Amino acid sequence: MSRHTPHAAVIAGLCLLGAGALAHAAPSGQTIGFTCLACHGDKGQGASGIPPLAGRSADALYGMLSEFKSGKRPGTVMNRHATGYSDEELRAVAEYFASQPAK
Amino acid sequence: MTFSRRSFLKAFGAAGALGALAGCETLPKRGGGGHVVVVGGGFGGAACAKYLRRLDPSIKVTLVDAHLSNYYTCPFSNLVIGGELGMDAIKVDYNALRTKHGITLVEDHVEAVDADKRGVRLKSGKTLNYDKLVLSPGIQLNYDKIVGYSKEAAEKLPHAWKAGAQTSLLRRQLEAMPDGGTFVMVAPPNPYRCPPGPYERASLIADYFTKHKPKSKIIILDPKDKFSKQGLFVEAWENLYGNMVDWVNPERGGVVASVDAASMTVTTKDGDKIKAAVINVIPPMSAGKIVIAAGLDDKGWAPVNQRTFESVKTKDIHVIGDSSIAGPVPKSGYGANSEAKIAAAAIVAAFNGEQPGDPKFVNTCYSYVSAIDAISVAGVYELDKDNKIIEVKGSGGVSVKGGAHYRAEGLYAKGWYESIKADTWG
Ligand SMILES: Cc1cc2nc3c(=O)[nH]c(=O)nc-3n(C[C@H](O)[C@H](O)[C@H](O)COP(=O)(O)OP(=O)(O)OC[C@H]3O[C@@H](n4cnc5c(N)ncnc54)[C@H](O)[C@@H]3O)c2cc1C
Ligand code: HEC
Repeated sequence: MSRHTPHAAVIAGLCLLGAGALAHAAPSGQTIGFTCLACHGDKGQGASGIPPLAGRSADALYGMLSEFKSGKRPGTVMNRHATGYSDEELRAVAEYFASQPAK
Repeated sequence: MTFSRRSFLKAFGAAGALGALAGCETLPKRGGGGHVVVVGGGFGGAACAKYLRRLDPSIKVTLVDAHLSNYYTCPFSNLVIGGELGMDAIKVDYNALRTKHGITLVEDHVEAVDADKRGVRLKSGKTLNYDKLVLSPGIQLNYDKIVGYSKEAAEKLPHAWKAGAQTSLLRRQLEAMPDGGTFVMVAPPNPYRCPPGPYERASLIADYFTKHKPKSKIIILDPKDKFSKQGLFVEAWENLYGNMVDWVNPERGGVVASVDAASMTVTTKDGDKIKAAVINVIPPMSAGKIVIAAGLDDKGWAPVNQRTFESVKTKDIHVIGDSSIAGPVPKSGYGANSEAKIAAAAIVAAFNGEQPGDPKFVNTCYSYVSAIDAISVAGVYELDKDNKIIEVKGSGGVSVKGGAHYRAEGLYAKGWYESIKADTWG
């Protein structure tokens, strides 16, 4: 423990606390986003009628996901997926895909 | 949580500090290093290897599989059996894992795990040493659980439950069968790989028979009282194939006592003898042989920490995919892919002295009820307070009954297949 610089230790310590060193952090946008790639294309680019997600606006993605969850937006399968997430998780995954490069 | 000096220094070194400045969640390059050996390059193993490198390129990954040059996917193999696709459509190319992701590929069979020395012994005689080992060897078929069945008998009575030569064998037998013949499937008991798989297979064979051998019959002998997406399958069979498909539950005599390859007969526990032109025996199964040989199983399947998929029996060995016990997450390619990513993140976290975040698992199994129509079952899973995997309340379920979406789902199933192949091996 004595061999690293104090500077790095302070920052890393803060990071651990922030990310939940004591409790586990909630599933990240990336963790959730990774599960969508098996349908929406390995880069979120869409495939065979399944729409793309990468690079689209976070608000638009979140809006659609919320509507799948509430049932307002019809779908073949997305209603059954969107109901698996809290609103915070849907927001996080929307942000994740918004941050990915569009294909 | 304890840090080894090595991981502490690595985690809190320069890369850690930069990562902290850039935000704690998205560290693209963590730099903790370490060597991971992954055994099995199927849906679980290949995805885990790829995502380890994606999450932390400083990790060295070696992927060992006995079938790198001839791995065929079970998903979509029922379309081959039904005559809709050729074998090349379900073959996997491993090149990108090496060229794009820097994974070392070794085509060899793993004979033994030496957990004390952190090594795996290969058939070629070589030993590979690991910091962490990931086992995703799929399933072992327990031929001896059915009287009269064996690896040799499977050359005449195919299981086609591992895709490859068995898939084309069953296809050839169906092509050679005369119109008016009987196809018998011996369905497996729970738990088994791909719960809706046998019934998708029956559907696609019924589609083929309807188009080419309409006087033929399909009998499914089942030791189970109910099966996945049953309501949807039965409805589709009646609508599309009249009474061609006869599902025989245990009450009606579905439990099989023995099979005989020489006389092409199946004898049920009730004493009925059924002679058939083609017999597909899907025997009981368990975790891959290597998992059992390494003493990682409990009654045939591997219990794992549900947050990390590390074996509860041996440290630093993670078991994912069909071989593991993952609560309500079914033994599917999708499930294996989902578990692979969680295990990869947990290993990266361990190498870098971090705590893994909460996981989320997903499954969707599309099943074709005809060559162009599909149904699906979906689920989203998380951990409860006791770190057990549970399905998120109110999520998931099966397609809406009645068929309005089946054509669209038939198209989306192709999108799923393209996507998961690219996500796993691309
Ligand atoms: C007919 C059928 C249809 C299916 N359809 C679907 C579907 O539509 N959707 C879906 O999600 N799932 C489907 N599945 C299920 C899916 O195929 C499995 O759940 C998935 O393959 C599990 O992945 P895995 O990594 O655990 O094992 P596998 O994909 O079987 O990979 C295991 C690999 O390990 C290798 N191996 C094993 N032991 C050793 C050893 N000792 N040394 C070296 N290599 C070894 C094997 O060669 C193999 O390549 C289907 C299955 C069947 C049978
Ligand atoms: C089983 C395959 C599958 C999975 C898994 C899946 N999707 Fe979808 N998604 C679809 C399909 C198919 C549609 C088209 C709507 C429908 O039929 O449900 C769609 C539509 C969408 C749309 C609407 C896009 C538009 O332009 O209309 C969004 C947003 C979306 N998905 C986000 C996600 C996110 C985020 C995840 C992961 C949490 C996810 N999806 C997981 C298959 C899937």
